Amino acid sequence: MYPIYLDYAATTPVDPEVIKAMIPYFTTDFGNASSIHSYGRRARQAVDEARKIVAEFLGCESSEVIFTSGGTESDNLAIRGLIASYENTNNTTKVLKYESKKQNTKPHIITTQIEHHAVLNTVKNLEKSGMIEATYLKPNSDGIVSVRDIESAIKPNTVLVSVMYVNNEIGTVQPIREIGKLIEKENKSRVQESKSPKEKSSGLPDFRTRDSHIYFHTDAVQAAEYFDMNVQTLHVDLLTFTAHKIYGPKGIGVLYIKKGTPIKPEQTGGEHEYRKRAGTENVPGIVGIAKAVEIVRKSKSPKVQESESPDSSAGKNQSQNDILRLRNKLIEGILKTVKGSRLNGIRELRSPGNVNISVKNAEGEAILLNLDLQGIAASSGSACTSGALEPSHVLLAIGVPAEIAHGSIRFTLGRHTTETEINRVLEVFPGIVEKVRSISPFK
Amino acid sequence: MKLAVAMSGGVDSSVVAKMMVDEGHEVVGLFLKLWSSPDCGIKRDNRCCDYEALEDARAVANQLNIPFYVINAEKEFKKEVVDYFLNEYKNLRTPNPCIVCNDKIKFDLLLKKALQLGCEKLVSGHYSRIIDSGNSRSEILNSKKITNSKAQDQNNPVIPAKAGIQELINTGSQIESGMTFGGYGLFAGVDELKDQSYMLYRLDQAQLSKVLFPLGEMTKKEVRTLARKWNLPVKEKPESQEICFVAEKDYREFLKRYLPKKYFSPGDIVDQNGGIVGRHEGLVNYTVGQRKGIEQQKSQVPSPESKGNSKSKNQNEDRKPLYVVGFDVEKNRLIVGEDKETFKKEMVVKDVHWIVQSPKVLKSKSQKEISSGLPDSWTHDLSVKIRYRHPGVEISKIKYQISNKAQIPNSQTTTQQWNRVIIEFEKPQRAVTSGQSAVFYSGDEVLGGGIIVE
Repeated sequence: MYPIYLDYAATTPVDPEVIKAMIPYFTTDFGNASSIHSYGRRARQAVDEARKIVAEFLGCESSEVIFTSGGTESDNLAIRGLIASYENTNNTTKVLKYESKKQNTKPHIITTQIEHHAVLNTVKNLEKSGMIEATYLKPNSDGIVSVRDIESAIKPNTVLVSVMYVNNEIGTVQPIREIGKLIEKENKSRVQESKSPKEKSSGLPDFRTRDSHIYFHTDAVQAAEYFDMNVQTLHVDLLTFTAHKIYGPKGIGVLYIKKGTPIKPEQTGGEHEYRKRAGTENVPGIVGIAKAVEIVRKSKSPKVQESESPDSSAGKNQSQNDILRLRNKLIEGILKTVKGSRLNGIRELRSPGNVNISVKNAEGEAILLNLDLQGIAASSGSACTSGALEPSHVLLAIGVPAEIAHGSIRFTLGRHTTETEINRVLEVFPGIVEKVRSISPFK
Repeated sequence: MKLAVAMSGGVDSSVVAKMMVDEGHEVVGLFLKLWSSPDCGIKRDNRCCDYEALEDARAVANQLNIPFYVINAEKEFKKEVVDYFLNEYKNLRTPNPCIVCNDKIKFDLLLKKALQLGCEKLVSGHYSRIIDSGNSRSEILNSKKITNSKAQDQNNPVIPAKAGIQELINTGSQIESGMTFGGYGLFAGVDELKDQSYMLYRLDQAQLSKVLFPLGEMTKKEVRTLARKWNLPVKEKPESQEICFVAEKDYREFLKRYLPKKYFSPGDIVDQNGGIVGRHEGLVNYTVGQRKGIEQQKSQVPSPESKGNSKSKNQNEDRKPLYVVGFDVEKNRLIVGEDKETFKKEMVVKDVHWIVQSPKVLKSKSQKEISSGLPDSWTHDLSVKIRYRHPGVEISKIKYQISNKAQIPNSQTTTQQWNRVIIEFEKPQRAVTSGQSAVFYSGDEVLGGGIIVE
């Protein structure tokens, strides 16, 4: 029994090239990037170069790239940082006051019910503490959020829309570019409105006179490997991604902050990362994420950057096509051999690596443990929620009944996935489901 | 054999896991994540042991190099155990959450998981024995203590499991009584101080057939010695005695947090004649037979409306210790009495569960005018324990109860009728507490049990 790893959405093995690039910054070039001496300068140079590579990847300026400890921190910084920026603005600019009891003087955030908990719980937490009001949009049963729903959810006090790029559980791809364009349009019309004299007498809330801007954040953690990450074509103001999902090290992530987007730092300390994120730079990590990004860029053909349809094979390189083919084989194989199984999330607008299957009358957890005992590593949702036996919030949001959501299992394929591995899964999976189904409770 | 071991991070289950691995079984470690108060780790002074326990269990699994999984039973545990616990207190009963947990969580939910993983049995570190009589039950197993015949060299404890589980099940030991039919019997552990059979009486044949308790034949001392010999990471871990989900030092603090305020409205403490002797801080704080906390209040906080007469009365009375003997819910009064008033001659037991099968044969015992209603072999040494660690008291009579009328059982008595019984003790018992379990034994064998009603 050889181990089979099918949990690439949880994390990926670090590419040997990435490790090679990082090693000097643990050993010879270990300096603190803020130090004046040669050690520090070498570290600083590495950070600068890395930032440039990441900026090229995102199609932005170096100064718009903030290194963080990972996806969760980037999401927190984007959302909390933006909301916190409204607190301290001085009186002349007349922004909303949190003391105010009026509903519409609180900033409003639009997000979705299928976000990663790093976003979802952050918004919920802000809402609970009375800082914001929030709208959680329900996707359709395919697992896609509608642009029109976002449009109709926008209120005068909306300041932030946060929609994930690729869902971590079901792999569905959200229409980020369309949402971005919508928000841009909305922002333009707000500017015009505020210039018109009509606005002055309309009695709209104070804050609009300063900040009639809606910012757009996307958590692109699961998208970085396969999809267009150009912030210009995506029309986003804030974008999160992390290294360890793209064959880089854990503990290093990026938040793209478009110039002019108000973000108040979350932690206090030194003036690192353009005063947006205090703390000594994780130099090896930063070098590592840049290397990982370089490898991703090489693997993406120029066409994919423009590709609108993620499932079409056009514009993908050989390796991505392979992954897509194996993914389809796995989906079709399971649906054919396991009665009462279904694919969660639409197949056509889906990450090439993601398979999320629900099986009737069988607990996903038991299937998962059985797979593990056979050497197959999969997941019953996101790694952050497995171990909590609540049915997945994503599956519930797309309308999967709770008892079926319980029987769900996620396979995520990656660069090292082989045909043999997929064949092996197809060989053992039906038997495991049968076994799990045959045991009923005692009382 | 492929086995699942229920690993709690304690010494007992860790030793069991190692024993099973050494025997050559394919072992999977399962850790039950149970509900604990959400305040855990946020408020001060809360003991929060579940993360520590998990780390300990994982450390043992790592040392043994076995797969280890956390099974999350928070929701089920909250519903089946914690809510039951709170509800019983609301109704002024004193629950035993471990019994429910064994029946509904450990040997149901967890057992099911074990079987779903393809394991043949779930192994746990309970000090109790399960004996499979096959079809010739009467020939097997006496429940006499095996300890005597065992080498008591603490440095070289006998590991019965070395003989292999199958052998352990088959051979048993020298038999005398036992039961007259086939099936799995549940017996006390040989270590009288650690015996946990009381907590397991609700298990049924289906559950017992899938469970192993390798420590039933061992003493705690031996288990500890093995843990040290094997250098298990938890070898010096102290015993846990508290209710696992109560983070507070005192379960009453837990009740205060989770029960509505109305359950803590103060009232009078009265003697059996209605004379006021003090004040209480809510009836849920008391349990029948309890002595602690009554005298103090008697002298400290006389009730305002009763100052006059109770004061003089108190002063004239001799200072005999007082015990809780009952509750007057309507008047929110705690009734106390002297030591002798806490004794009872009989009790009603409901929801009786019989492990093997409900008794059928009516027999008299020792020529006394007694109808135990139990099979002949059972009447030998028939006793009942009315709480955990209770030494047990002989039963002099069992009747079954239908619509509040006591009936003497006969061979026609149905299983359903055996569900609610009246037990007469050979000797009056102190603190017969409603909500606690009454567990029936024939010698070392657990016949069944139920919940004490009154």
